[in-house]
Amino acid sequence: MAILVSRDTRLLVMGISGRYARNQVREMVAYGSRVVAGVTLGRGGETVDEVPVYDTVREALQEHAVEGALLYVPAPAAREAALEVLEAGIRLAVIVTEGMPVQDAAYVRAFAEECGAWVVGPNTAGLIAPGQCLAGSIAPSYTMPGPVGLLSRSGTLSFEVARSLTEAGLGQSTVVAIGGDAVIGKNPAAYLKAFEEDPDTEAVVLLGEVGGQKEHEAAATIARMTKPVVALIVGRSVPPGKTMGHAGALIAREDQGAEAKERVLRDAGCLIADTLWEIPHLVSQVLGR
Amino acid sequence: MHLYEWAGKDLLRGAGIAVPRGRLVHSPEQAAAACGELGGTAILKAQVRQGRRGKAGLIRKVESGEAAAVAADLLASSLEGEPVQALLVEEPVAASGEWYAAITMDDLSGRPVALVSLKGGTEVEAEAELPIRMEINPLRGLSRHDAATLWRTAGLRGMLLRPAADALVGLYKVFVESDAVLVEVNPLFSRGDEPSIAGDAKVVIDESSLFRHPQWRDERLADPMLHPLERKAASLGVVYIELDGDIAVLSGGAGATMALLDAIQHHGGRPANFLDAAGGSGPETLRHMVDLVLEKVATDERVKAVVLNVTVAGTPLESFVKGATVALSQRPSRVPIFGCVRAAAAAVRTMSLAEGAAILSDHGVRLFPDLRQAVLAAVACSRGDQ
Repeated sequence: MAILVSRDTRLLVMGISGRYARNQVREMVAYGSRVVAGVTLGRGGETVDEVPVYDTVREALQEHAVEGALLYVPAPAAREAALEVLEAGIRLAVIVTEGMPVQDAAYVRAFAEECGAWVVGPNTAGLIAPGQCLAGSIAPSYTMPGPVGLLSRSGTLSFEVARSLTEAGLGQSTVVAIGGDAVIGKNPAAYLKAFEEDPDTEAVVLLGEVGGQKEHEAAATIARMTKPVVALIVGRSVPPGKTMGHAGALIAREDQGAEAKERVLRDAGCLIADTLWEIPHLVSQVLGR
Repeated sequence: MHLYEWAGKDLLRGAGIAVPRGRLVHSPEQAAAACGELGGTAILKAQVRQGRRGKAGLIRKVESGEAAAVAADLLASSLEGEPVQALLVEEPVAASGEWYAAITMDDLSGRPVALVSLKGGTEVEAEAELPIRMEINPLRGLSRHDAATLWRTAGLRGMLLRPAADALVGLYKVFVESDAVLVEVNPLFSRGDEPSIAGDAKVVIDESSLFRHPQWRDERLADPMLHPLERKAASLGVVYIELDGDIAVLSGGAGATMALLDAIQHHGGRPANFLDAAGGSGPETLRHMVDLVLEKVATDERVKAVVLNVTVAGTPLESFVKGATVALSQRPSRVPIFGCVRAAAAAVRTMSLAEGAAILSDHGVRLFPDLRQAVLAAVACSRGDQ
């Protein structure tokens, strides 16, 4: 088991004909992910790495059963592509797209909530259930199967931490980059609940950032969890009012800074790492290894 | 990006919200002339992006005779380092009340929220009076009756509800059409059952939406508060933020870079910049990033060391190494570079990590097996211990 995906998950890739998407599809197929269809308007009938390409999602779904979609489309097209996926009835959409306007993300999120779908991202490196399914660009060689659930607002940080956990012999149930933007499909709290319910996850690592209220909400969830959670909040060095790459990391108020977030998380029973290289040590500790 | 008050008011006017009669001026003479046109009494409002202008004395009520002198004074001032380059000259508004109204994006629900209060002005600013809030479903928008209900909850009754609801619906229109993350009017002047007048306008535009609003793109690059390197980076698709430390940072990915800056600070060092590739990090972008950091090193004598942290996964290691070595040959670093380079399996097909490391070492980069050691070495170097 894992969260969101498994070895049975069949994936559809929006914008499969783009160069970046092609490279990612090759990695996913090589890893054993079941990429069953791609969609690029105007490219129907072609194939990408033996994956058949369709003009629209509905056409693809006439030929294939699909549980999840990955969106490799440019920001101006992301909203329409996400709505196409959701309207066709797919209940997991991973929006890889960077720089999606906030209002487009909000619209897609509200639409997904009405149809009961789960949106990962936007601005995400995707997720991996090690040994089962790669849906995105999380480097498989940095992961291995195991009991740690890892969720991160940042893709690159999830790579760094997954690698250090793997080097320490601490495998992962799922590594998921939830998206670095201010408005994302699901907040950390939703992923924490999913990890709490996943029988293969024994401990969770939360990689948060300064800015916004998401870690405060996460703390309320952690307080009710039975599984231990280790957290790192990055962005201590961000001057207030500055946006450091992630739109979500803008500190607008005092309670959105690193210290305030660490305090509420600690009060909820979380172990807080001071630097990223302390994480494997703390995870070993909570797993009793 | 924050818009100036005058630009925000243009947007409000376009959405049918009344704003005071006024004119944007750039000199004391223009200010005096505008004051005369408005009937002899006017409010001079310095145009800076920071808030709290009233407290800083940058909003002044004047009569014709003194307008030029006060304008000259304002045009020579600055707020938190931002020079005043223009003034908005407006007619005073006779109002029966000062309200507060805003639309902003809530990062938790992922929905726009409307905020209103009948005690606008400084009371809301001081957070003595918290506004009443209501979530808006973006699939449906903000209806006039929902807007009216919110004002009723805030305590408003009778014919005053109409102009109040209309103003809020107008703000939501601006919010959506301009791709704003904040549209705030404080004060919103109440005038009985006449249309309300927006006394101020604070509009923050979502920078990701600039492909739909090309008119703001140049505005952003013209921001006087941008450091020259920040401006150059923005035009290259790279996010660079100038910090005041002495350890320059060359790292990719917003989260990983923030973690690195935190780690430098944790170990007693002071980071000199933040860096992130916006919108994918192809070979081009990686080369721009190396160039920007080398320019920082060359132009800021405070910099004593560089930490390089690169993890390539999607981009081949070879293209990063080539880009970096070209840049390093053109503009060698005058301070040591302490680095940690890693590559996922997919990135090392055309160049192994050992080969890449050897080439970087030949160009003077001191590589470490893990980032922690590179950070410790850079911190020691910045303190003169090495």
